[in-house]
Amino acid sequence: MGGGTNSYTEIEETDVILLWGSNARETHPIFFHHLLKGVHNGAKLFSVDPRRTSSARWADTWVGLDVGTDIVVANAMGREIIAQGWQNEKFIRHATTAFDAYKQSVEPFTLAEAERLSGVPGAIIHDMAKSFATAKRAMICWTLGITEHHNGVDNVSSLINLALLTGHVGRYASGLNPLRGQNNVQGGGDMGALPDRFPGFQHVEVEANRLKFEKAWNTKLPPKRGLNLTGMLEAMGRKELTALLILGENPLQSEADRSHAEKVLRSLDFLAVQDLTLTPTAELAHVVLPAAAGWCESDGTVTNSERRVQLVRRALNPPGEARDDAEILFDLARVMGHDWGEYNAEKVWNELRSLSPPHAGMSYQRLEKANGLQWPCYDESHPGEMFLHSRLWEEPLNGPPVAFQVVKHSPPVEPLSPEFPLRLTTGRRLDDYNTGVQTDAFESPLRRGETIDLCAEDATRLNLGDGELVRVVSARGAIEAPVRLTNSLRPGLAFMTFHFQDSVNTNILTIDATDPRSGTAEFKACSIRVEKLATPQKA
Amino acid sequence: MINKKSRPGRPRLTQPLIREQTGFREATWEEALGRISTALKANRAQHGDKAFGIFSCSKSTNEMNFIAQKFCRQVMGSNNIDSCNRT
Repeated sequence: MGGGTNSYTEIEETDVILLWGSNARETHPIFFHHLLKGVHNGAKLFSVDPRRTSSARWADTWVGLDVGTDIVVANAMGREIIAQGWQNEKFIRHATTAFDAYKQSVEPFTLAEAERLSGVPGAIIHDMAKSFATAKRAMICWTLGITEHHNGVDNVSSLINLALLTGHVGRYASGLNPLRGQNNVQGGGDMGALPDRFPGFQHVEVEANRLKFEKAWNTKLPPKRGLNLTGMLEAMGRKELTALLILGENPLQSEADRSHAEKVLRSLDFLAVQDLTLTPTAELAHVVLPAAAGWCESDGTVTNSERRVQLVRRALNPPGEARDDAEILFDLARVMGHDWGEYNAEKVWNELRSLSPPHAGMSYQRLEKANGLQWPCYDESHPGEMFLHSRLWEEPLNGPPVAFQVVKHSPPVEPLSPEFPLRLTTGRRLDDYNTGVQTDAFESPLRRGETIDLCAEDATRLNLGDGELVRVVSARGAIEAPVRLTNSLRPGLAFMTFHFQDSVNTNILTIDATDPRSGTAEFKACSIRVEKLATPQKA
Repeated sequence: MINKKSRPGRPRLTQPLIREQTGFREATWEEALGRISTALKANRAQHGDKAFGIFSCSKSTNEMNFIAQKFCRQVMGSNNIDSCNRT
């Protein structure tokens, strides 16, 4: 089962926090409040990020690594911990395997070598390794700075290795926590909206699982896993996937390498889109269905980064004839010959509970009374679990040991070159949400529109002024945006968001090199150049 | 600077839309769902189960995501379903 191992409140009582590839101050502001309580309670905070973000300003140490060198820093930490004897030998022997292979694999990552490859001073890596390994409690929290790379899974493994090395997992206020980007990223996966999993993380290729769902739904089910989102886009390109239903997504603007995404979406024989508004993706559809907003016009549940399932209730009626997403699918199923009866959110949830063991104990009544419950929750007397993997500390070990994963450093797919000498990394800001479908219409006193953020040194070198409109070019395309000077970037690094794509199509620039296992594109690293316009103008 | 404060948000959709040669026209739910049903059945007959997929939504409820994967698997016989939880 995949989910954050700790609860939000635990970070308030931890001793060391590695915030890795995450600007939680802007992108997870609720969680950041819990994190700040931890800082106020004395926790030492390391912000590991190529940018000196607004989160980093709260940190004891900003670890400003070069984009795509996370494994270098993590492996060097591991090597230093072992060299100094700070590892948790007892935990390693009790609950893990493959330590020797790991030890051997990190051997080349000396502090000096790591400094050369990542740009982080060896003394800082030493200090972070010492603080993390010798702390009584420590947590690693990460976001897309870890996962939006061509080797995102390896990046995650390199952090898990650090927790295994030190025993900082499976205990109160010690653990591994990916912060989720949408209110229900966790729940979408938990519910089986994945190509290889039924609800409750039950693999579709395990026959017993398939038989269980075949019996419940009285039908034969496909025995092999399907395609993930990236795989589906590729299959569309080959004309193997020819009909698509998009529910509340705007891939035309959210996918890397927009021109390619648009081409394959246009090539579909049939596209139907359900959304709140006529998004640029919906404009390509053959049929568009008006949907209710998930959080205020629908009944149901959502699951947050601490695995807590919470009730959401309809407070407003959707406009016009717009309807709940799930209810629309109920009707479509009926039209297509599968009558699931009258739609009712609680009835759907109870069907899920009957099929997904970690959710079995979560009745709507209990969720309401307890203000949400954290999975796993196997029956109605189970209180849910505050943190995961406590089994690793049981004597004798409960279940299989966990293996260290050997991971190799692999720099960004697109190297810097004389033609494209700047590294562009993309991300989000506080005021806007992804492609803006849900935030465009709201005012914000802080919003400043899309910019290409550069440091003063680079701007001076390129003879560019603050606010000057420039042309930004990658191997895939070019866009125009105004320059914004910032002291959060070092020379050679540029930053943009993809919030304002109606005016600035940042994903024209990004590369769709993807991690073969997660299907996630390398939004965090492409190569660009910035050109002065022939006739300089202010944006 | 552009877009200092609010931007003109796209208006909410209030009716199903069907695309014709000249652009979108409003339709009833019955007609829109019928159109989708016909297209999906024809696609399946012509290209098979694997020629269909769903992009599901990480902002929507658990119930909707459960129903979306049930629709994909039970009604369409396809495991091609994923969410934006990869980006």
